[in-house]
Amino acid sequence: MTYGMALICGIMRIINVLHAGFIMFGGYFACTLFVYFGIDPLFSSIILIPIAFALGFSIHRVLLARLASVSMQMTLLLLFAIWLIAQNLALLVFTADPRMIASRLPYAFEIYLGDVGISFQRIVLLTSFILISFSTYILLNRTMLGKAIRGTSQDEEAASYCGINTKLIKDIAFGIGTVLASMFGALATVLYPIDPFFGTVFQFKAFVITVLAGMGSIIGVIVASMIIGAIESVAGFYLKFGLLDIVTYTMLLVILIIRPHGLFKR
Amino acid sequence: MYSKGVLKTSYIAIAVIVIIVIAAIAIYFTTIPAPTPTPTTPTLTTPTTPPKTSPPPTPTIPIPETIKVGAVVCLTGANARYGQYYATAYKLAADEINKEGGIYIKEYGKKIPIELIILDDESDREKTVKLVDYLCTEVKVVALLSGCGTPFIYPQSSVAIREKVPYLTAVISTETLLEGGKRKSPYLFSMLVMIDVLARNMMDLLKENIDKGVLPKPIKIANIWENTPHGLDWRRGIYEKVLEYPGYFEVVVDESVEVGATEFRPLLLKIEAAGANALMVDIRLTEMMSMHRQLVEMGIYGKYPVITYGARGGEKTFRDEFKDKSNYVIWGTFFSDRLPYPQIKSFIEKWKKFSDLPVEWYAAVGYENARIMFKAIEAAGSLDRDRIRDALQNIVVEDVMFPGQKISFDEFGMVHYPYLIVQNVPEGQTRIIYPPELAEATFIPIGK
Repeated sequence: MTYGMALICGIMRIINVLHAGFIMFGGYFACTLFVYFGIDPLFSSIILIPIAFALGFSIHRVLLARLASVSMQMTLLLLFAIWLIAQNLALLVFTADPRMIASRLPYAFEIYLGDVGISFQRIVLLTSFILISFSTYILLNRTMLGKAIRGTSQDEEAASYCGINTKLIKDIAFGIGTVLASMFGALATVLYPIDPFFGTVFQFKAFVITVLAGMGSIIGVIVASMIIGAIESVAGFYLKFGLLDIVTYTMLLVILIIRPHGLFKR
Repeated sequence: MYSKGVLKTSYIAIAVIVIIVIAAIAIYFTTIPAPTPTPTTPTLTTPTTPPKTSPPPTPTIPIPETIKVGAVVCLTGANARYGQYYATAYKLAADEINKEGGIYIKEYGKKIPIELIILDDESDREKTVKLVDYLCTEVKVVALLSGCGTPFIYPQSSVAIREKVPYLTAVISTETLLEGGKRKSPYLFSMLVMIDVLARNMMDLLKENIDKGVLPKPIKIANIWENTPHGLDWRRGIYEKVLEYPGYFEVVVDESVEVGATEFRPLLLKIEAAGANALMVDIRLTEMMSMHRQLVEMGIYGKYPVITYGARGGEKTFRDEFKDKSNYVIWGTFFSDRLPYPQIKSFIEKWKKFSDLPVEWYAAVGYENARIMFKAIEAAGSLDRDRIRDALQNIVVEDVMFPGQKISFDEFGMVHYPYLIVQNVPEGQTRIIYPPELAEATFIPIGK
């Protein structure tokens, strides 16, 4: 999920406030396929790839690309407006009632690592997330498309002199970001109930991780996610549970003061 | 200098913004209700002859054509699900009375039909205030029925207080009615029992079962509450009983949860490490589903003889998702179709004829809310807001659908009756286990 945000931040230099909307979209997509066709979210997240890509690509091509040259504020406002529209549409269609998917994957304890028990569902999801991360890494670092994306992210003008269609690359990058957020949304339905506000909490977390990692740093995202996860787990156990968010956001504040461009900025 | 393309885009953007602003202003003014709202229940039948015991006095002022009663509810937006119930229930209650010609108003010596004005705040708190203000100052309603959900009722009540309009609410958080332990306004009433009463009732149930030897003494409680006035009320109720019954309860974990929380594993680990055997939780449905999922996932469902999520636990979503892992969870409610009251049976029949919505407690609460307000208007014998307020303060209704069947308001505008505590049992069934006089079964600890 955070990869998507990091990718979009890195290339387009915008904070994608619509990220939560894509997470929600993925969640409801998986939920609908499960209810009507019995398709498990693991598979629906794969079906989702071309649909989410087309959605992200179109949004960027039709709406964002037109405003990108005007100002970043306009782009932010537009993304925020789309997010509100999407949220209200979800309220209209799915209502505010939380929905949950009774995945066929067993969720009681299955695997023990020493004294630590991990449910089979979490193992499968973790594996999926590792696969997605690995694929994204390969795509960005071992393919021509990845090279073009990285080139555009580093210097758009220079990339265009090299013959890269930077406009198309930005459309594609936004599409990939959308796919990553939507896939996370679909897979997360296995663990969390979904409602039209689903995604907001994750979006804030993704934002903290992206800032901590350094805008656009993909490797940094992995390390920053682990740091945040570990701190939240430890703080949740030893400190007051209600103070979790304070701990996370104080850490963000400290990082911004000490290293304003994040821990892993290239 | 900007290129032509950029300038063109800027002009287009400015034009779009101007159009949106004009459209928004237009929508805003068309959304604000028309100055002459039509009654939602057009059953203006010929008034029947008033009782002969009180000869009709000659009115000196014009007799109003209708009794204007208002309600602002969420018919669209996030809270629409609940708002639909309240609106439908209000209409049902008004229709019943209008079929009889309306409410007999002694001051005018005749029955006057109710004009129920229900407006949609679109689940928007700002809009809810504007609409209640409109109802009070423009439409000049004589009384207000509540919206749905504390976040909406709280701002609505501030207008009702300012305009001195009797306002009968359906809230269970004391913050709406009280300020510094004192009643905010004599115009505010709630016909639902506050959430701290549920916490106290739950604790009474536990004590009863500790005395029977069903639960250990002292029972170790993990008290988890949402960080809202609702949660704080719950927490207060728990601690009141801890102090009242020394030696019975030991609170080993006392933690708040933020609305919107998704990960509960660190908290559940802490609860497990503290050796709790009663999980007393008051959180919203979405968080409760996540928490229970993680509880089951960690394999610790079954370790706690007592699990409650306050007023949550009977929802179809919850039962369908967790099936046998939702069994023996206990929860509190005001209304159950299992109560042996004839008025409940009659209400269910009426509701099914009137609406396609399933019978849920919101429906019963909405219906009783409107019915009690209409009774108060009749008792006042006047359409004067102060006299209606006084009548509401002194009213005693003995055929309500809630436990004990009797409602009257105390000096804080609150009602007093016990919650029904219900336990989920296998095959999607439930059993009332508290209060003792209405219990169908005894409490069964989880894992027994």
